[in-house]
Amino acid sequence: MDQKKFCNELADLGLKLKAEGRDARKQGLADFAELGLNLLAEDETSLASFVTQFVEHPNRLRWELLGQSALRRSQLSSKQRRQLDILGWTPDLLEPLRSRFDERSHTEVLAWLLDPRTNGLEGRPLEVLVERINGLRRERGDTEELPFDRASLKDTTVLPEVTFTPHGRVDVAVSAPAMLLLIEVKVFAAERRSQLPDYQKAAAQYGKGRGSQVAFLTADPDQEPSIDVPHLTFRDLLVDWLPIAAEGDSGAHLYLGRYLSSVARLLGIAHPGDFDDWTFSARRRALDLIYEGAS
Amino acid sequence: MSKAADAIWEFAIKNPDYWPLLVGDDEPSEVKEMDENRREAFLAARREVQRRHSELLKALWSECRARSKGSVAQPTFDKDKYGAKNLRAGILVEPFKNNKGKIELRLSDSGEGDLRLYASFWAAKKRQDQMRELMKSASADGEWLYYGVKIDPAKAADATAKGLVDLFFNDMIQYLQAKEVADD
Repeated sequence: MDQKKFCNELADLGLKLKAEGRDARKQGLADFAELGLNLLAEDETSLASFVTQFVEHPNRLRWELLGQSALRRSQLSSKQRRQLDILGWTPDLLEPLRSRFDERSHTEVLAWLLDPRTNGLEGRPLEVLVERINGLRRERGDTEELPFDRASLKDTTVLPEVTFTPHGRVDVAVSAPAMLLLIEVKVFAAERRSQLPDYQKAAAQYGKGRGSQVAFLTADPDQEPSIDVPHLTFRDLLVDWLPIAAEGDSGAHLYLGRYLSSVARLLGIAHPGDFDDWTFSARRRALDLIYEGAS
Repeated sequence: MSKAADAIWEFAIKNPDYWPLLVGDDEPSEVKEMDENRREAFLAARREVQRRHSELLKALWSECRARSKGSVAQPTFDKDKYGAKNLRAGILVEPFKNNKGKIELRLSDSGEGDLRLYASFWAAKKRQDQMRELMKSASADGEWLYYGVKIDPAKAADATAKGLVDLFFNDMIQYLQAKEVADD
C-alpha cells in the first residue's frame, strides 16, 4: 500500500470511529486512529489552502503554466515546431474512417509506412524502428544487432497480415536479405494465448540464416509482452517518426504526419487544432514528447 | 465531508483542464515544481478528488454488475475488474462476449466546460452499423457511441451512477442479444 493511501485509510478510520461515537482507545486502535485524525486535520488545512489558492483564483495557475509552455515552445527549432503542429493536424488519418482504434487499420498503415520500396520515405521509418529495437536489445544484454542495410532496401518487403504456417498470422512482417522482423501490434487488445511464442518459432524457422526478431508494439505502455521480446510503444513511434514527418512536404511525409496525428489522438497526446487552443496539460504532454525526440 | 472538500470536488468537475493535474497517477511535474505550501495544498486536493473519482467509478461498476446478474448472455462486470490498474487509469472496461465490442466507463471532458460521466461503446467495423441501429439514443463520435450524464457535485455517487446506467442499459442488452452479424 502506498503512503498516501495508508494515510487516507488511517484518516478514514479515525473519522469512522468518531462518527460512530466509538472510543478508539477501547478498540485498541487508539494510536492509529489518533494519527488518522491528525492527518485528517492537516489535510483539512491543506484543502482549505487549495480553495484559497486555486479554487478562488483558477486563472493564476493557468497563466503560470501557459507561460511555461509558451516559453518552452519558443525554444523549439522550426522543425520541432512543425512536429508540434503535426500532432494537432485535423482531421487525422483514421478518424474519418472510424478506425482510430482499429488494429487492422493501424497494421495496414504501418506496413505501408515501413515499406522502403513504396512510399517515398526512403526507408527512414524502418531504419529508426530497427535502431529502436537494437537499443532495446542492447538494454537486454544482446551483443548482436538486427542488421539494417540501406543498400538492400530495394530487396526489402514489408507486408501486413502474413501467415507463417503453421505458426499463425503476423501483423507486420519485414523481410530483408539479412533480417526477418515480425511485429505484433496491439491497440488496447490482449495478447492471444501463446501468440508471441508462436511467432518466435516462425521467426526462427523462416528467418534461418538471417537476423530474426519478434517485436511487440502496443498502444498501452504498460502492456508487457508475455515473453522476452523488445517492447515498442506507439509513443515511441511518435517520438521517432515525428522528425521524419517534419522533414518534407511530399505526399508521403504528409500521409505520415496525418497518421501520427491519429496516433497522438489515440494516446491522448495533444488535441485537435491549434496549440493555442489546447489545455495546459495537453501542451505539456506534447512538448515533453518533442523534447524527448530531441534528446 | 468538509465544505472545502465539497468545493474542491465541484471545482474539479467544472475545470476540466485541471483534471489531469488532480487525478494523474503520478504526481504531475507541474505540481512537483510548486513551492512547498502550494504543493501540499495540491496534493491534499488530489487525494480528495481521487477518492471521490474512485467512489463514483466503483458506484457505476456496482450498478452495472447488479443489473447484469442472472443472465449468462450479459456482461458480468466482474467485481475484481475495477481493481488497481483500471481504477488508476480512471477507465473501467468490460469486453463483450463473442467479440461484440466493449464498454468503457469514465469521467471525461465534455468539451462544454465540465467533466461528465460517460459510458462509451466500441465495436469492430463490421458490427458498428448494427450497434448504431440498436443503440439509437446514443451519441456518436467517430467509431464510438456514447451516453453521458452531467455530474451534480452535491449528488451521491450511487445516484449519479444509476442515472447513467438508466440511459444505456436496455440499449446495450438489446445489442448484445441481437443476432450475430455475418462475416464479410
